[in-house]
Amino acid sequence: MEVGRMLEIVSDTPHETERIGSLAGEMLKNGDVVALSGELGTGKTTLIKGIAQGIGFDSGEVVSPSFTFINEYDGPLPLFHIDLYRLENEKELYEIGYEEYMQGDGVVVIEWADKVPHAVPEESLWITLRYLDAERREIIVTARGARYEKIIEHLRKKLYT
Amino acid sequence: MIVLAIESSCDDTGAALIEEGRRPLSNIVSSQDEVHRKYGGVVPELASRRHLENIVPVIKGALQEAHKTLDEVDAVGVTRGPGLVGSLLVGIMAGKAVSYAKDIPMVGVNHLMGHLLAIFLENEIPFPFIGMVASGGHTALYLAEGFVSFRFLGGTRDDAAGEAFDKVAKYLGLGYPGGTIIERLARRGDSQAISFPRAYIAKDSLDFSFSGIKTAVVNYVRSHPPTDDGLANIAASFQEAVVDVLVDKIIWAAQRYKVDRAVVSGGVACNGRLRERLNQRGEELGIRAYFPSPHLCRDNAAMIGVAGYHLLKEGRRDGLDIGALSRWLFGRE
Repeated sequence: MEVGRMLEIVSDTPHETERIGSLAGEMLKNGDVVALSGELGTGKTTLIKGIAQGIGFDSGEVVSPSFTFINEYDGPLPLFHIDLYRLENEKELYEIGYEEYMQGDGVVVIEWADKVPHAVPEESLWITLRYLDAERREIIVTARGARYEKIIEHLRKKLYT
Repeated sequence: MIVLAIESSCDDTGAALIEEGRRPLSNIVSSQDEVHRKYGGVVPELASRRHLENIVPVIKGALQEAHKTLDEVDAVGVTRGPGLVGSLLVGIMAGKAVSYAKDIPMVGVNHLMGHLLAIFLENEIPFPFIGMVASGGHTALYLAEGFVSFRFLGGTRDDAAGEAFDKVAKYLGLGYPGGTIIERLARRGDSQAISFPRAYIAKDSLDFSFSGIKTAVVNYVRSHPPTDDGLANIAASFQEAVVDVLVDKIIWAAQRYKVDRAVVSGGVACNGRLRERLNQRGEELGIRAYFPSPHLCRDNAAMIGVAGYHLLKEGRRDGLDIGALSRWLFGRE
């Protein structure tokens, strides 16, 4: 299951995906960056709702920013929800002012981060969702940087012990 | 009073001259669909660049078509949010420039309020009514009690209705804008062929969720790689599921607030199946449905002019220091 700083989880339902997000969310601190990847319909929005809930937001507040590119939520810890669904290449990213958010106060969650892997801070928590069947998803959590290893440890403890 | 209205919240740059809050003397929209088709959606930077190129010609066009000069304009109404900040700023700056140069009042308008009042450009309908805005960026239900009095009843918890159309169309390899393409394809398909889930969230909830149906389409396509006919059936069945939920929730809202009129606006309100189904259900239940003409359902400045006029009439004014608001919850205070 667990390989070094990586954790593979199978989620049987969207509800479980949300819970996994929430467990990760409650460990997030100011300045943390979470990079999400996974095809359309694998549960990225569901996971982010969980993350928001873990931080202390009402998950109902969090809606898709595909249209506006970014949604900002003010709360116990500001949350910047970036959605790169409509982005075509890395160059466009810099034109948009994306870098400013990487230096901002709060937690940054980036959907479709795999489109621009080099633009994601080296130290970040990567979560990849993979389609298994209609309901089930494989969720791979990877800690890049020591500060994120605690999150993996927390998930492992809460989910498997 | 003649209001110069400016709208640049998303992919269209618009300017209009509106007389007495209901007569459009002109309504110019320079659509960016061509630019966005290439990218399968709205790319913020592209949008704001195109707005910059379009804004002055569009305002000049609105004045020319109305046979007016800036000296004959009494006030400015400009979309302040919600939307893409870079895009909104282009319109706001233009509005400020006119307001300052001609020393006339300006007011910032919520984009959703504009959509909710678009119907008054064609139809004088009495309050109260249930208003729905359904587009690529918004899905929200309101109780409209007066020109500047709206109560938020429910909205989407994840994807907007139009966004679901766009994403499903892109996933199926059909192109952009998704709504038009899916509706056209759906005419050849069987809307009962596939039973996609309808997300009602909870009994009587007036909130929406369109993320699940998108996932259901993906699941279906993975297990049934579609033929040409299959594609039309998917489009028709998907459209039917979205329309079902929209219609049901409009009806629920009307019944809960004992209102017998419903107004639907926003890009998704152009959908023929939605119009047909809501008219049908409304007729059975004694609820009259109103839809602005398609060009007034989509983003346009004329609707901002209607809203701006009524805000100004209420004495609302904004200074030259206002900025754009990317998220602006409306009717929830």
